[in-house]
Amino acid sequence: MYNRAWIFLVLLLFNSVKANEIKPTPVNDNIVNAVAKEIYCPVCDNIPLDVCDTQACVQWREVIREKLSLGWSPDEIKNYFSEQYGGQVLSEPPIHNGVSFNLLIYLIPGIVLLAGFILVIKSIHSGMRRG
Amino acid sequence: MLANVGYGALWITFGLSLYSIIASVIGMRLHGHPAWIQSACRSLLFIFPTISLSITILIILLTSGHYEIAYVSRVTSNAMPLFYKIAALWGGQSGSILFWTWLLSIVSFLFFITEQKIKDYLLPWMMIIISVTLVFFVFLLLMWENPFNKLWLLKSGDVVAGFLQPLGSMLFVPKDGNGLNPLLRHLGMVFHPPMLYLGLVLFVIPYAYLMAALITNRMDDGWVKVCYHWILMAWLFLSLGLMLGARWAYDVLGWGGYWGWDPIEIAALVPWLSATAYIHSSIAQTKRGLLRRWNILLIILTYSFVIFGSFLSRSGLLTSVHAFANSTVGIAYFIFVCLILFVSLGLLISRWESLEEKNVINSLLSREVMFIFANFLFVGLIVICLWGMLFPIFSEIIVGEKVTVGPPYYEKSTSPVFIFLLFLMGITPFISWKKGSLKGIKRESIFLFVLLLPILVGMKIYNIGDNLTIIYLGFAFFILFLTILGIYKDIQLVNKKGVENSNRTIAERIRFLMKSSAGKFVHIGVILITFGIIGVEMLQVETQTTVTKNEQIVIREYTLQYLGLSVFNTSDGRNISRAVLKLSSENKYLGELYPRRDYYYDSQQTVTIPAVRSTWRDDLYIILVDWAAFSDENITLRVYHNPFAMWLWVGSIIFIFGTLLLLFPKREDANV
Repeated sequence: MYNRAWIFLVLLLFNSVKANEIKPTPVNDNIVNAVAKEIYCPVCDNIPLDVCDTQACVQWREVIREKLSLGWSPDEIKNYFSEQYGGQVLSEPPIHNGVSFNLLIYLIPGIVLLAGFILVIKSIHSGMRRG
Repeated sequence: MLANVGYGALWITFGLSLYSIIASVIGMRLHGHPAWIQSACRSLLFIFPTISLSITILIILLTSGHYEIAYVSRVTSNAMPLFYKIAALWGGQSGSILFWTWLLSIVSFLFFITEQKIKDYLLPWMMIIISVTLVFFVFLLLMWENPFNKLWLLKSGDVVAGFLQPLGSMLFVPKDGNGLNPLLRHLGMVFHPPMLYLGLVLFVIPYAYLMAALITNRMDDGWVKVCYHWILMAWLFLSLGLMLGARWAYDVLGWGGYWGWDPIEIAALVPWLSATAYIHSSIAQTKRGLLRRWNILLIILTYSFVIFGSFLSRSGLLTSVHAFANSTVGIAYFIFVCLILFVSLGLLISRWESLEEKNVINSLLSREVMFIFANFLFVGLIVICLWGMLFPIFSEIIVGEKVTVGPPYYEKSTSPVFIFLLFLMGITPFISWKKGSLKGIKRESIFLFVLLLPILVGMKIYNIGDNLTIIYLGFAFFILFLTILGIYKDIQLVNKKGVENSNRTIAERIRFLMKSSAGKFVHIGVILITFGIIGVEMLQVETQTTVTKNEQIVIREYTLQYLGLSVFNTSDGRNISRAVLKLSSENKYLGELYPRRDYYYDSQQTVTIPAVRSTWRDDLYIILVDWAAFSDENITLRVYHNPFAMWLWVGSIIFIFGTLLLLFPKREDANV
């Protein structure tokens, strides 16, 4: 019984210390918008959160403000939104460490452009040889 | 009754299009029997009045509040002013398909009336291709998207849309309609979609002409000139449509931008890019007999992109502010675009051998090679755009993950390509055909660099931006100087010719100059647009603040003071909340600005209307974000400072001016 009371007291103390450590700091609109700009409205069509004026987006901006005031980094907030509402809320497909399907977003155009360039050079070369 | 006539006119159009195909085929079977061919042509020409009747009836229904018509009740309301009721014609899925079909009928009517020189062997095939396209669109209207569907009240109390009366139902006549989406109630709505549609529809002519030439295997280079003229016309309207769209976005969407890399915006940009590539590469064919297969491929691709873009915007496959609601009509578009691609590419492959290049490339440093590189870059842009647009679909199908491909991808991928393109744009006019050299502009280039130096230093002293921005601006200035130098050389040439031919009046000389420098005017437009893009993308500053009465917001050298907020109703069904701001700069009063928010009672939606103050140096763009309820004590404002934004629009006007010069008179007269 006493043991349990000790654990409870320690937890309470720990909790209070933590609460003292994370003191919400006021965050202005510009900082909120800078993060919201990189997140898409989860319910509208292709509208960044910073300019979307639906009531839902106003509330999501408040969520961002709250997280920022608790010391979250922009990346942590973006991850949070991505986990909550799916990857489509990010303005770019997330490329995590390691091999990801999303890497193809840059790889494919790169490969096609390179192949195209080689083809162009070859056809110019053959066009010159015809003479 | 009226709706029945409109619907009947659609069936007549369908019949006429089918008849035109059949009569053309019979005419060809009878070895170009003139009576059948003429009959096919007349039937095709008669489509214009029949579809005009249909569209006139829909406009009458839209403007007279016939809410028993499903389309009318969806896109209009009592409170909407007359011109928005007319513009609502293209504000919804079925109306916009009817409008598209009507434009197609005008374009084909004008083509067959004005182009007297169409060869007899091409005419029936051209008619067949245009008629097949018309059959496709009218079929969509008759089967899927009938704009004359009525609302029926069933016994169960449900309301359904359909043309024929369901058993036991009665006509349902709502007192008011839903009204057009408030975002669409802007002057842009009146001009942007028609211009864009006209541009896209016009591509059918070069496509049909080319296909007729391919089918009949008469691939002399005559088609290039005809296609060039019509592609240029399509390009003019498509450019206008895109520019008006950009201006509309700037005016009404309230994000301080003009281009959002939205999937449907890109769907309209892609055919523009391929047409731009064609406009350049076709000159290589006319002048040097090169790129013959490539030019055919570009026309096929451009037309396929047009239909593919319609498929994307109408299928509901992509989420976009531009997209129409989900519709099964997308499947029909998809089948149609596949058909176009397979048939056209099959034809091209079958004629491959007969399309050998007529000439050789003499030197790497020649205008034709520069055009080839420019084409490569345009295709690169198309690949980047298409891949970015389609990646979310592939991602969802293959790995089951929904993703968004937004501006960061496009900006990172396309900007290097645009820089190379600008460079080629600057130097290519100085490199001659066959074997060029840079000797001609070596001395001038040094002079231009000397001219550029004080500009660069000035930008650094005035701390206009970071070093990268200054380099970009310096580069744009250099290309601008090169292009102006090109025009100067054209003036010299015209004067020289004027001395040789002393009969020429000054007016004639100016006309010759305008013709020979038309392309360079388009290029100057592009460079000015580039200044605007650099200003908004790299130098934009924004801030969002809540201010109380008489409090000030400072952004760069400007000061805004909040004076008050007024809330009032208007006769067209809006509740307007309008802030009054006093603008000053360095204690000099510059005027008042009124950012506002319009609430539409009928659709219960709000639209943000920014206050914009434009000068040649910069734009101040202010959005009313929020305000305290029942009080005007404090408001939240978002303020953007957009340097050089006006040059986007000035550049656009010059761009269009240059394109008009290219078009009238035709290019073959343009060689001074």
